[in-house]
Amino acid sequence: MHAIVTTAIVGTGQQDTSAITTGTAIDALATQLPDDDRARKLLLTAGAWSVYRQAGYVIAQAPDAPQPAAPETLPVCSPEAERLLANLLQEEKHRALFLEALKRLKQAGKRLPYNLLPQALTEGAQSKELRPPLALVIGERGRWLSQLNPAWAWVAQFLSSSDEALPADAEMIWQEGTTGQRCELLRRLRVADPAKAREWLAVVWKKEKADARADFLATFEVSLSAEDEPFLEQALDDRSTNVRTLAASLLARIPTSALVRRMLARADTILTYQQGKLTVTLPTTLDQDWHRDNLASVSDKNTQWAFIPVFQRVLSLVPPNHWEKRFAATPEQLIAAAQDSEYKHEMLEGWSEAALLHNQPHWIAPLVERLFREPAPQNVVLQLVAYLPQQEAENKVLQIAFDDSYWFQALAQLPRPWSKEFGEACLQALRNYAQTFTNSASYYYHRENILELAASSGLPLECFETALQTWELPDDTQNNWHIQRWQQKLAEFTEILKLRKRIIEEIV
Amino acid sequence: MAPDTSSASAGKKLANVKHWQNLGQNSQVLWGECQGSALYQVRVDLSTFSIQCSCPSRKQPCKHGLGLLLLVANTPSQAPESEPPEWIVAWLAKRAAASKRKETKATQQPTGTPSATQEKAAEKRLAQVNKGIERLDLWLNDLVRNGLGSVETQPARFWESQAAQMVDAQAPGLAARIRRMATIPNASSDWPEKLLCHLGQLALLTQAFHRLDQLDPVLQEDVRQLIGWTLKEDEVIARGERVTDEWLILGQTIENIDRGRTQRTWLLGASTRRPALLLHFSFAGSAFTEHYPPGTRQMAELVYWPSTAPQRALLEKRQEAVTPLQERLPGVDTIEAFLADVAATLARHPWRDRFLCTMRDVIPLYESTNNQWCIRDSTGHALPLVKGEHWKLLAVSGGMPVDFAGEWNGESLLPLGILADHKYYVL
Repeated sequence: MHAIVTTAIVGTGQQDTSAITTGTAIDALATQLPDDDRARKLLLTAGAWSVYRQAGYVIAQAPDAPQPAAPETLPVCSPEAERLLANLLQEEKHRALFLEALKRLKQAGKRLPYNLLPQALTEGAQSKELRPPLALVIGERGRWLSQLNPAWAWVAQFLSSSDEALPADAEMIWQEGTTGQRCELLRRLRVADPAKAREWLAVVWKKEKADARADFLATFEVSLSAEDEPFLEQALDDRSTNVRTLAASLLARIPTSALVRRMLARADTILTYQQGKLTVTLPTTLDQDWHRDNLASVSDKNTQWAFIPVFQRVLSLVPPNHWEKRFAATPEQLIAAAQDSEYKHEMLEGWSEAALLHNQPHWIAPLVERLFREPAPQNVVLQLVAYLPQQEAENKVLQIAFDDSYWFQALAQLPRPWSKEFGEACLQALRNYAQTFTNSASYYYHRENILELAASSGLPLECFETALQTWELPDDTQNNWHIQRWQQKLAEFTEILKLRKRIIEEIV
Repeated sequence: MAPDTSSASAGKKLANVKHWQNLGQNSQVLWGECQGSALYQVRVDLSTFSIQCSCPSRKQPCKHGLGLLLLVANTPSQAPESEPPEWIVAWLAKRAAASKRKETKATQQPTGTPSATQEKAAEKRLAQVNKGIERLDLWLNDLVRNGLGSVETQPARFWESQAAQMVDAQAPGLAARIRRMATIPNASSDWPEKLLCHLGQLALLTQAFHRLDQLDPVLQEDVRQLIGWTLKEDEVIARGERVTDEWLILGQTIENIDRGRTQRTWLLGASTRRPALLLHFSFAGSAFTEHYPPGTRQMAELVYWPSTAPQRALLEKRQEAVTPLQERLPGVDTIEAFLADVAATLARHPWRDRFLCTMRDVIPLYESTNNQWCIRDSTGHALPLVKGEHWKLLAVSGGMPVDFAGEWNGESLLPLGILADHKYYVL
C-alpha cells in the first residue's frame, strides 16, 4: 500500500511524522504545498495523485483471443421473424408458441439472430422440451457461445447437423462426446451399419454407467434384427433393471428369438380358448427363468397376487397375432371373449401394450373400440388412439361426449394440428357450450383447457377465420361470473391465434 | 420511448393497420388517424420523434403515437409518401410560427447588464457558496486528521447530512460528489484508496474555487459548473460553441436519481470525431420529452456547454430525419490511442470522470476462469468491462473484431453498442 493511503487510514492527527508520499512524480510537486496544514496537504496531494494515475492508466495485456465462431451455414431469419421471436421469448406464457416457431424456423432452413441467442440458450437451460428444436437453429454462433457459459452446456448433448448422415469425425465423437451425442451417433450408425454399431458398443459396454447403457440400448430400436439377439440376450443379465426391461422388450420384437419362444411357451400354458371362452390358468411357482426374463422380481412371493401382474407382463410381450393363429379367432372375437373373464382388465391392458410394442393396427382399432365403452378407460387407451390414423383417431374422440371431462385428455393425445373437420367440430362444441352459461350451472375448468389447446396447437390454419369470428355469449344481465371468465379466456384465445397466424406466415 | 410498460403494450396492440386510416408521411412528418373512443389525429415529427395526438391522455407520448411508430417501423409501406392533409399543414405552419417567435425572442434578449435585483441575488448566492465551502474544507480536514479507518462504520446519514449542507449552501455539484462517496466504504478491498482519491479530487475542486480569479476564464466556467452553478439552455445557445456535423447516436443510459431519472445520450461527430453528451432529466415519473434513438445518425447543429474540454451539449437544430447506423465507426484503433485522448482531456479538465470510448477492431472476450470480461485491441492490449454479464456483446461479436462504443469511467468500460456485419447493435 502506498504511504499516503496508510497515512490517510490512520489519520494525520495520530502520527505527525508519517509520510505523505505516493512514489510518483506528484511527490516533487507536493513539496511546494505548505507543511503547516498536513491534512490539507494530504488531500491535495491525493487529488493530484488520483488524476495522475487516471491519466497514466497502466494497460494490461489481454488474454489470448479464443478461436472465433465458425461461419454460418444457415441464413438468418427475416427482421419480421426476429421481432416475433423476440416477443415470444419475452413472454413466459407463450412457451408453446415459441416451440412451434422454432420448429418452423428449422423447416424454413433459417437460424436465430445473434442477439437473441443468450436469452434462447437460457430458456433451453430451463426447459428440456425446447432443447432439441433449439439446438438445430442456434447456428455455429450459438454452439460457440454455449461453450463459454457452463449454464448452456446442454447444447453439447446435441450433434450439430440434423441430417441423417454420419459426421466425418464420428469416431472422435464416439470416444469423447457426451452421452446425447453418442446416442445420436449410434442411432445413425445403426441405419448404415448395425454390425459396426454393436461392435463399438461392445467395446465400451462394461465401462459405461447404467443410465448410459440404457440410453445406448434404446438405439437398438433402429433396424432391429435377429443379429442383435446375442447382444440383447447378454443384456438380460445386466445389473440394472432398466437395461434388463429394455432388453426384454427388444428381444420380444425379434420373432425368432429364444425369449419369444420362452414367452410363447409360458403364455400358452396360461391362456386357453375353447368355444368362445378364454380361460386363465395362473402359474403356481416362479423359477429362476421367470426372474431372468424380468417377469417378476426375486422378492415377489409365490402368491396369486404376485402372479396376476406376471400374467399381464407375459401378455404384453407376446405378439397379439400369435393368438389369432393359435385360437383361430379374430381380434374382435378374442376381445369380446375377454369381457367375461375375471382378468378382463389385465387381458385388455396386456394386449394393448403388446399391440403398441409390436405395432399391430388391426388390434389397436378393436381395442380402442372396446376400451372406449368402459366407464373409466385407462391411460393405455389414450396411447392407442394416438397410434390410429389421424382421421380414425379423431372420429373416435368425437364419439366421446363433449361434456365428459375425459374428452380433454383424449383430445390431448390426438396428433396436432387437427384436421379442418375436427377443428370445426371442436369449435362448434365450444360455441354451443358458451351459449349455455347460467348462474346455476357448474363451471368446468377443463373446457378452458380445451380452448387453450385448440388455440396454441390444435386448430389448423384453415380454421382460424371461423375461430376468430365473434363468439355469441348469453347477455350478461346478472353480472354472470361464468360469462366474464369465459370472455377473459376468449381474449387470450384470440391473442394466441393471432400470434400463431404470424408465426405461420412470417417464419418462412 | 414509452413512459411505462402498460403504454408500451397498449402501443403494440395499436400497431396494427386495422386501427388506422389516412396514414402517410413526408420527409418531416408521419401522420395517421386512429380509431379509439373517438377518431384521434396522431402526428410524429420525424426529426425529433416528438409525438402529438388529439387524444385526452395525459401520458406523453400516448399509446396512439407509440402504436403509429411501431406500425410504421414494422411495415414502412403502410404509410406511403403523400401530400399532408390539412390538419398536418396547419400544425406545421403553427410550429414554424412558434419557433420563429422563439428565435426572435432569443435575438431580442437583452445582452446588456443584468438588473440590480439579479446582481444582488448572485452576490448572495456567492456568499452562501463561500460559507459552505469553508465548512466543507474543515470537514474534509477532520476526516483525514481522524483517519479514514473511522468512516468504515459511519451510517449513510454521515454522508447525507454533509451533502444536505451543500444543497443548502446552493452547491448541488458538491453535494452529488459527497453522495457518491457514501457507496465506497467496504464496497471493495481497496476502498480506502478509492475514497482518498475522491476526497482528494473534491479538495482540488474547492482549492480551485479559492483561487478562481487566477484561472483561465473557460476553466472558471468548468469549476463553477462543477460546484453547481447551472447555465440555462438559452445561455448555452447564446455563448456555447456550435458544431454542425452528422451525429452518430451511439448509446443511452438511464439512471435513477432521488426524485427522477437522468438520461445520458452519447453522440459522436462523424467527421469532426468529437464526442458529446446530452443530459436530460425527468421528474416524478414523467417521460423524457425529446427522443434520441440509439443506433441512428442525424445531421444537426449542436451547442457545447462552455468548457476547457467540451462534452455536455444540446442538439439545437436537428436538420434531417434520422437514418440507421450502418457504416464503420470513426473511432481510434488502439487502447493506447484512446487512453492518450483520455490523458489529454484530463490535462485540461482534471475532474472529468466519464469518457466516450469509440474503438475499431476490438474483440470482446470472456475468461470464465476468473469471470473477467474485457475487450482486446489488435495490439493485444485489454481494457476491462464493468462488472456484470455481457453475453449479448459476445453473441454478436462471435470472437471477431468489431467496432465498439462504450463509456469509460477511469476503471472499466460500460458497453453501449457494437457495429458488426453493417448493423449497429445497441447493448
